[in-house]
Amino acid sequence: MKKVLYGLLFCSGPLFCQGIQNGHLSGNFQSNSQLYYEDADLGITSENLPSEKFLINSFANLLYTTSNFSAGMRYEANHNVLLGFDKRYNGEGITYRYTQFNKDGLDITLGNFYEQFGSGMILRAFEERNLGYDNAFDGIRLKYSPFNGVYLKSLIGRQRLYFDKAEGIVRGFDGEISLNESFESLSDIKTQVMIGGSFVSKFQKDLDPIYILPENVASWASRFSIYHGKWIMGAEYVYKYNDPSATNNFIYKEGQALLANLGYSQKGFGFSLAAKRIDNMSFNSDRNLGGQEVSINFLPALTKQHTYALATIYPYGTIANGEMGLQADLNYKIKKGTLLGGKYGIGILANFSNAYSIHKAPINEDTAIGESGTLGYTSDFFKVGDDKYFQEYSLEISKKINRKLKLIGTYLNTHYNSNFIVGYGNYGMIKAGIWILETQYKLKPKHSIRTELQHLKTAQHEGNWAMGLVEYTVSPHYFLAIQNLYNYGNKINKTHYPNISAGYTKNTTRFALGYGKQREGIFCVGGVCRNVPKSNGFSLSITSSF
Amino acid sequence: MNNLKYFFAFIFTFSNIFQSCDVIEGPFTEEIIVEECAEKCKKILLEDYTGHKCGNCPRAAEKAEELKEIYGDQLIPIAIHAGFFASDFGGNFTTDFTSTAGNEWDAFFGNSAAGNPNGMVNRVGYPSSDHITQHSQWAQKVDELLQSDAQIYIEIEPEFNASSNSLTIETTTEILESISAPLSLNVILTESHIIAYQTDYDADPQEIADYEHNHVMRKSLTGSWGVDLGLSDYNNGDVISNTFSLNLNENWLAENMTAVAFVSNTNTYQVIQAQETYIME
Repeated sequence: MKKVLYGLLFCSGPLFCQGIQNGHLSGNFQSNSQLYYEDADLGITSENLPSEKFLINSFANLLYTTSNFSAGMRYEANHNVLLGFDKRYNGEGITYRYTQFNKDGLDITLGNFYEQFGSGMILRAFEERNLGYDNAFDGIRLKYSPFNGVYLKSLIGRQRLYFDKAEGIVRGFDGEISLNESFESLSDIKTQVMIGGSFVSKFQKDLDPIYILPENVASWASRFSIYHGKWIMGAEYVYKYNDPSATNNFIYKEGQALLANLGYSQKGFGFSLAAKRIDNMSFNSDRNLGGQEVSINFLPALTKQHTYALATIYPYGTIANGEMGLQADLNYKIKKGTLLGGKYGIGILANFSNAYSIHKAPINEDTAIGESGTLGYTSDFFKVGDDKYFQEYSLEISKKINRKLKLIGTYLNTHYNSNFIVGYGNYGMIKAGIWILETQYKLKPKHSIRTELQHLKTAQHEGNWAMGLVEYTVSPHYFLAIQNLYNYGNKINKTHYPNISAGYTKNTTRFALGYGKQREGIFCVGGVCRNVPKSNGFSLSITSSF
Repeated sequence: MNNLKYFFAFIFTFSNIFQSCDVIEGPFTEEIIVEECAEKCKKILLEDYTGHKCGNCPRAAEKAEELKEIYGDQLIPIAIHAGFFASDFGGNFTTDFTSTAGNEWDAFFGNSAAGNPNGMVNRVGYPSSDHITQHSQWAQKVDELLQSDAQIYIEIEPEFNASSNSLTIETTTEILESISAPLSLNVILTESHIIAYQTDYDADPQEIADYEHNHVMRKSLTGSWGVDLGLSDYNNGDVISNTFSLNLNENWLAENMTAVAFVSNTNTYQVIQAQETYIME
């Protein structure tokens, strides 16, 4: 009865109702709130405390699905948004709604949708709630597979800009063919080959009285990936035609991006190598909006994503105007029963990544590099620039000592050029060494205790940090955690950042309450970043789903 | 067959996007011919919200200068230092360019909170977020606003006494076209050619010691929100006179200072007319 009722809610007539009854309704809710206090140690006074004192970000998703139909919506209520999120998210409303159905193999979406073509360097719409990032499309998307192994996608729409939409209209087409699926003669061979291509164009009217701006800016991409046994390799190249914008200082140079990767994986051993070159590849729905607002594409950072507190202090944010970099990842497990591996074996993870500027030269003697209203600069594709933006290598070793105790030790060495990476301002090249020891100990069935000891050593910026954490978990319902970050190397203000948090989980509902201080910094996911302001206060997080 | 039908329909429907590309071969700019300002022409107020530690803000200042070059007297740029990047006086950045009115405007209109640099052109668009514009949008906004005639004319007569470092400003506001709204008159002082530190992400080194700060708002003579011109309806030909006096801060250089007056709709904050004159002949 419940299912039928849900089905009827979405029915507008008997014909349309065919096939969408007996569906399934699901949903989830999340709320993050914080009560803010003054803090003399952090320099938070009544003047820079938010007037509301209490801020909250919350949303709920509802999703109705049947075999060939789905519809959903998200309601957001931010009264007002937490510090660190753009204030243009203040307010409430339905920010995402769509219907999607599949008829004769043609998949049609009307309304909002997320999408990715290839690696995303030409088009990627996604949401990262912790960053306050949401560039969902509002429009139409079609997906169709006319033949075995041939996958076509096309879309048209405008992108979300807070509670509004960007001015530009984005049109896109993507095609991909799996040769092994398409050609029967290749179906049984060990080597699997996929090739693909994309075309994306945005339209925005030229109302500028000075510049002659391209109203239609196009971009195309081609890609391939090959799987052969334990090996995988792939690459994608993107070319963007002239796209003068606030981000590139209104130059008319073309944009290019190349991402290539090679990987190998077998039981107990794997590695991957990736390299990229990005040149003038910021691609936004609105040429006047810089940074990450209404980005049509996504430029991967190609650096390791960290979760340990001190390892997240100096994250790399992609520099869309130009960078070259590479990343190497290695994982190896020393077998159990060997001299080194002992009874349980040893896990080893190693990572190296870097990013440099690209070579840039003036287009002529009279024009400065990057001058507005010109072709900007010339660049040798294979030549690295003079500036090192970022470098990091890390080694993580995990060892199970016995049935109750597991240790994970990590060392990171980071070079972070604060003069170029958005975040902290001009502290030059910050060189940091970070040591981390994590222990996991099972006290008794369902009861475990986890500790972290971390230390960051640097002579630059805010100096050295130390961190300790103790977390007690009673599975699956309770946890209690106490931690403190101490910026003891800060020459101006040696500050403690203590935190205590506790959580309760019942089925799919989770409550987490915390109190403590938050350090000021920058938070990045995949090269997309936001500033996190310092704060002191109570926080409450509630998540639930059905 | 059915597959093929859909396939071709699919390709046909979206084949038009392959033509969706404009390649500009050059020239990339066009010359703007601005008619010479008539005696009582319209003038536009451009507020550039900036900060001496804002590394991208020099691009906005350059844009303001570029537009000033094009539009001449018809554009009045002012640089308002406010927010995080203006309030950090660490290291070499010891000069305080902030002002009480500038800070209040910034807090009220939300400029620095939206990320410097940005600005407002005649404060058009408030209270929606459209009032905050990127510097790349300023030319378009100025051009649009200059398409309409002036509704008000403002005359400024400054009298500076160098020996006492005191300034008296008389303003005359003349209504050229009837307006049914309460109006506020704002008078502020700006100073140019101030040499001090500025962060510039495009410079090497990024901290520029001898950066020239121009059009810096120093003080408002009319509080943060101006003085009421006294009526709720204004008719063509109405003339209102006001006088303001103050002693200049000893660190300000009078010869580089201008008085900027602007009349705004008290309810919408939209600027209707502006005027600027040097306080010394």
